[in-house]
Amino acid sequence: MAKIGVFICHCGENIASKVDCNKLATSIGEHPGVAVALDYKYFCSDPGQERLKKAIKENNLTGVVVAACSPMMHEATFRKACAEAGLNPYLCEIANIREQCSWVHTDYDMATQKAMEITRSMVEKVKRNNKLQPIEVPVTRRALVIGGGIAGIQAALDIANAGQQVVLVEREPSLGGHMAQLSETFPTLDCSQCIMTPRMVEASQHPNIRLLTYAEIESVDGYIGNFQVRIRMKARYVDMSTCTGCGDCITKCPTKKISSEFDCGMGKRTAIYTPFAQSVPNIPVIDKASCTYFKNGKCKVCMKSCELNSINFDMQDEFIDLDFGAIVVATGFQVQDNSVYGEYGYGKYKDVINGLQFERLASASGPTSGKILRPSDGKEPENIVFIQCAGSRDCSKGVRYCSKICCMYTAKHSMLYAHKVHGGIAQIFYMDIRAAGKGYDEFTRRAIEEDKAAYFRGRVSKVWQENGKLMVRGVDTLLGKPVVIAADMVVLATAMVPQPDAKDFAKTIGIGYDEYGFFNEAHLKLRPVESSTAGVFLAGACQSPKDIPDSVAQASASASKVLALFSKDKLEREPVVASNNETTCAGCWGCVLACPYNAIEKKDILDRSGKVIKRVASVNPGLCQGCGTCVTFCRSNSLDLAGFTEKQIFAEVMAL
Amino acid sequence: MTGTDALKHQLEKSTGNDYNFCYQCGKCTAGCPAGAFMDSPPARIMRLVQAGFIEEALKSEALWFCVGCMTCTARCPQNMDIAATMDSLRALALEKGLVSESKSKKLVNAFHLSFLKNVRKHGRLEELSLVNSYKLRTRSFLQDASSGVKMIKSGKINPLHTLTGKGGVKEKEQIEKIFAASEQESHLDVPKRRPVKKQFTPKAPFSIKPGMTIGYYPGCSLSGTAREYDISVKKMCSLLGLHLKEIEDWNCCGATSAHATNHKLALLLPARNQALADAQGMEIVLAPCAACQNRQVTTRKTLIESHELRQEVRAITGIEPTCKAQFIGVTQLLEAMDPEEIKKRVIKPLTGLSLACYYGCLLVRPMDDMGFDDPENPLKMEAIMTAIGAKPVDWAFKIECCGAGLTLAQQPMVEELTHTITKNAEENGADAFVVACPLCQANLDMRQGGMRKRFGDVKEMPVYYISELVAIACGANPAEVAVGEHFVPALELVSKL
Repeated sequence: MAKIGVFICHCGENIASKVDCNKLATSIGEHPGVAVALDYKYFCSDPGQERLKKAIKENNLTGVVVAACSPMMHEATFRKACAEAGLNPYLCEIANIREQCSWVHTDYDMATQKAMEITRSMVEKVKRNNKLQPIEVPVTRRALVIGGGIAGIQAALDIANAGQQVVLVEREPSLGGHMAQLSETFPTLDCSQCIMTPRMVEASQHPNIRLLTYAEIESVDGYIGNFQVRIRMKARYVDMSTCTGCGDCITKCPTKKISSEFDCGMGKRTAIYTPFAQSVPNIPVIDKASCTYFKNGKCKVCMKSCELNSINFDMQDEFIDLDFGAIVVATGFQVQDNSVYGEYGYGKYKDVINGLQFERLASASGPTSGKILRPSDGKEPENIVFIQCAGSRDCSKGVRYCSKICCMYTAKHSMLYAHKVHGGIAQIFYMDIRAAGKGYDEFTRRAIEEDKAAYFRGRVSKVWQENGKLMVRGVDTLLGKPVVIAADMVVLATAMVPQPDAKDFAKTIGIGYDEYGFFNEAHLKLRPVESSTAGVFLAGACQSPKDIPDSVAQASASASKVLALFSKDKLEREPVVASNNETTCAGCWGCVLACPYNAIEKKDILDRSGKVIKRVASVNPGLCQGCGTCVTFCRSNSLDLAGFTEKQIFAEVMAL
Repeated sequence: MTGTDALKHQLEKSTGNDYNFCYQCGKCTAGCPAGAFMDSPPARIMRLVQAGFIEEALKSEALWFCVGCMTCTARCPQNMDIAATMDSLRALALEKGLVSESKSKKLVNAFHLSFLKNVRKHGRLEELSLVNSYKLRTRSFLQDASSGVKMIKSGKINPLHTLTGKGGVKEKEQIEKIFAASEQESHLDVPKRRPVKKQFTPKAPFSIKPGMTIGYYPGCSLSGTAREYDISVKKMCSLLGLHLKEIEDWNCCGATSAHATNHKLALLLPARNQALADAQGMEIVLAPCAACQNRQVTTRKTLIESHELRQEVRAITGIEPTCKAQFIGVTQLLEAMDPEEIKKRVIKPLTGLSLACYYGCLLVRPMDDMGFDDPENPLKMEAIMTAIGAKPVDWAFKIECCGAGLTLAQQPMVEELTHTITKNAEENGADAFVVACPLCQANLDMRQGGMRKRFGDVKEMPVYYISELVAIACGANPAEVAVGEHFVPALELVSKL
């Protein structure tokens, strides 16, 4: 005998303004099987929940329907309340009469009528609900951090310092990411590598961190608490266990003219190389595409010069398979290619460079040892024009957003230039100055007031060359006049864009991404470091453009989520999983094909002598996500979904 | 709606702009060749409209310095049409009589009025009477006096035509109907504009083979001051094995004066040509003048999109345009031919001739309509020049406007613009220009003497038409293609190659 309790929430005015809750309560109270029907202003509040629990106990209810807001808001709240009152939480269902009724209709009578229908259909479903117990799965207490920039390093250290195991995977030969390429960082003008390298070393030496550099993620399977990841260790052609990083091979390598990626094309490297002097690990790799030996079988100078015989040209890529309980994605960003602006001459004129290239010039470990010199003739520029918003905030180039860091780093560039080249004139074209962090506005004012940077409000239309100078045609909109400047160098504050393979990578991991390729967070305001996939967290610029303080903060936040996950021995999973009636199963394997999560296996049914008499489908409750695809596919009606059985669903529909 | 709101609404309708989208970055002003001359450069005009100060915008002098090069619209990150805003403001200003009383406005307006009155009367532009009319209105009798005499002597301007009215359109009532219709309120809806990602994709090139007959639209200037272009195009085509068939009874496309003052007129005049070309069974029509080609191409796009406009053209001409005929320029024609066909006809490669290929503003903008070549760094003219053995240089002012139609009314500004262009060409090693537009040629050639006298820091640079050079490379005698009729002596440089 069903004894269902129906609890109708006014939700303040949200529901009550369009639905007659009182009438609804009276009406549903007369429906067969409904033992009690109450309405109240805010059922999710403490007093509201107390009323609910009291009604369950007093009426010995066998099921509960809460007619209120979307289950996404409070299904968990009400199920917990039911459990506290002694009723299995899966005997509680939500009838959504807010998002699906009061919020989308204007006619009072018709909305009330609709609310009645919705509630009634959920009552009929709940009558057929079964008591379900959550499924427990073990948690592998090992975290995978993908990306060895400042965000990845921070996350790895935080997790490791809490005593948990971490594997840190970085695809470049060294840790460091883009922060290692910077000269000084705003707003403190700390030397970037000076503050970062101690962290890098710490991460490489930490007992709880296993560092895998020059490695990439090949595939990810599984689910929260139980990920199976295959990692490709790219062939370095250098034996990491014997190499001491002495650098003899690098000195002796005859191929010296390769454009250095770390120096953004402003400097050169050899074929066997470490990206920069403070690389962690300080073990070189051979760039197969540029190495003379790999191209035509000659040379091997590095091998001959290595006293420890660490060079091995026969190395292959290796794969390792590891289990993880949580994944932190910290894969960072790249800078936009400014050749999309034909009018700025990037790529055409040597002295038009982007912000990251300027960082390499200014950096003490850069190709010019920290001197600001023109790439064309190596002379010191007497004036530099900086163009902000050279790529961002431009719909016509498909980058609608603001890259957040360029106003700050352009001010910084003008200051570094003023400090290094006395008398050098920095002229900056801007649309706005976005300096919202702590000490940020003061920093930009310092560039103007102390280091005499000249700011012009307006965008630049064209850059061209005349008599060895770069002519910049912009505008001062505050004066309403065009401005033409003859510059020795032009620096474009280019946009921060996602990595070139961001979208493919997201598909490998199984997380969502936006139109640009930035990874999607679960909720922009309240859950900024969780992705929409349970167990995968985000940190740093891969989620959206941001500066170092925010990247570090996000990294620590991700780490805290991982630690919360690891604080439990077992994870509870929702019991909404499919199961198979093995008697009626025909073994057609349609469900195996249909399942998006590879959660269905083929199981042998044996007789007493061990002979296989039948093969049937069997759902792995650990992998099943409860999507129901197999149920719709099943031709023999053998599969069913707990919590959404066929009987329950039909009852819902037929009640309308 | 208040008066101001109504005016702003009118501007929104006639341009397709939603002025809320302008975020005042100023890139339009930065790129405007006339920006330094304006009281309210383009970004300020946009702000005046955005903030509701329409009357101040209408009275600004800036409207009469705008050359209509569309650089502003081409570079706007928010896809605003600033050039159309200037056009619409001019049209509104003239219609409402809310205009600046400055000299610039008087001169430019006098030019447009003289131009359009002339076209209304003849259907085509009678250049001498245009100039006479302009000079009478503005009392600028001595301007270009010596050039004028030279042109009469060389037969470019025929005083007899002016007197007898010969050489105009036959169906004059159709022209009158067009002008009458343009004085009615226009209900033509311009599609709404929104910020979008823009990337240049060239349209598939045509395929033209020797032996083909293609349509020919000379336009008004080729019959007059740009005679060399007409002569050299015809000679070039005959050397390439192409036959030209002139559109019968073609009319003036309206050029700058129509679109700068009356949107409807700017569409109806070229639309008639489209209808005629369609009716006469043409598929490809060569329009050597960049302005004519630009007007025809943009009008064709509007005709395809607007059923209403097609019906209006049918009511006036009796023909509903099918828009089958497509108008192309000389560079496009050469691109459409098989490179081998051109190569085998080159018997006198122009070795050692260093050229600055000057495209001007109208061949590459608007990027979507013209669909011809990269709007920031076009290279198709250079490809043709290389094919005929010449040496094109890399320079920075290929697409910067020369001042175009404001050559009479804003002569000092045109001299400044052509000065910057010529200086850059010289600095990058060019000995001469090659152009594909009669107005570019006139500004760089006819005005060069005065410009060099004023600034004194550029050498003499002959200005060749692309057709002249191709014809010469294919064996024509330079004098045969009227190279001797240029203002800056041009025979010597090509003769000694």
